[in-house]
Amino acid sequence: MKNTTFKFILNIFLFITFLFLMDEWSFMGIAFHEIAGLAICLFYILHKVLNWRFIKETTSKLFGKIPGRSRINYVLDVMLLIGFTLIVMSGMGIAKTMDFSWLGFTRENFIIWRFMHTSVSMIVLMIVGVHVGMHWGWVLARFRRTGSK
Amino acid sequence: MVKKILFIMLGIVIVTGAAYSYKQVDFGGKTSIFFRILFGDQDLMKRVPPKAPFQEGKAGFKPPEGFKGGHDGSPGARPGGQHGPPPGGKGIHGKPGTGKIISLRNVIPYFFILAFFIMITRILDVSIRKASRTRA
Repeated sequence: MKNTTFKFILNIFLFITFLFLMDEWSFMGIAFHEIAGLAICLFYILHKVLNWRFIKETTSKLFGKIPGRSRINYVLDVMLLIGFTLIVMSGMGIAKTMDFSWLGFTRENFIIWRFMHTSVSMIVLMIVGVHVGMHWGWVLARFRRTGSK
Repeated sequence: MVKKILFIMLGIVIVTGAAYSYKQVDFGGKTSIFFRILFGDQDLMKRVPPKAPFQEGKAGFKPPEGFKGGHDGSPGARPGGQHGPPPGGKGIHGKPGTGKIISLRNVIPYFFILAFFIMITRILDVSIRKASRTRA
């Protein structure tokens, strides 16, 4: 399997899983929500590893001469990284089927973690929309290529 | 021409769906909470549900004299499990920890919101590109 095909399949998988995770009861219940929530983060890291060249090049030229579009994409990526980190952290704080007390998450701040989890996931949903919109040309091209095969 | 009409219709469906979904999932309200936490809004903490009126052995709660709990076999006593999940073990969300198998109904609003942001970004992106190409 080619690298771009794998990337495309991974991206579709990430997109669909993220959508399912927006409602904890919609897909196999809370246990699935928590496991898939952790798994999606691993796939998100894989997504970043596969796009490492872009990250490396843009980071080195961020304050230099690069297209504005790349800069916007970079900022969006950083926001997504922060967003996903906050979602996972707050998710650990409110987990029902898994115990993360060994990481120092206690029930004392449950409400704050709960609010944070819901709120940040809404913001991340918005950023994911903008991120996909910025790469829509690539998505269409991949679909066309897959369809023509 | 047909393609253009289809795109406009799709746009109308997405915008209408997103507007309806925005209200349904309280998107604005939920999003603003993050900024309230970020800026240390103390009012938020007041929304913490109050603790139970009494805590076991702490607040001095004493059951009425002669009360032995609900399962003592006295007339009117509630048989165990009466108010628990119905036979078969399924509550409104299915068995605890498993939930319904697949129910896409609750995901649809989020899909519309996502589609709305994708569409808006795409329109802006294409417009900006066209404008810069014309200028060049």
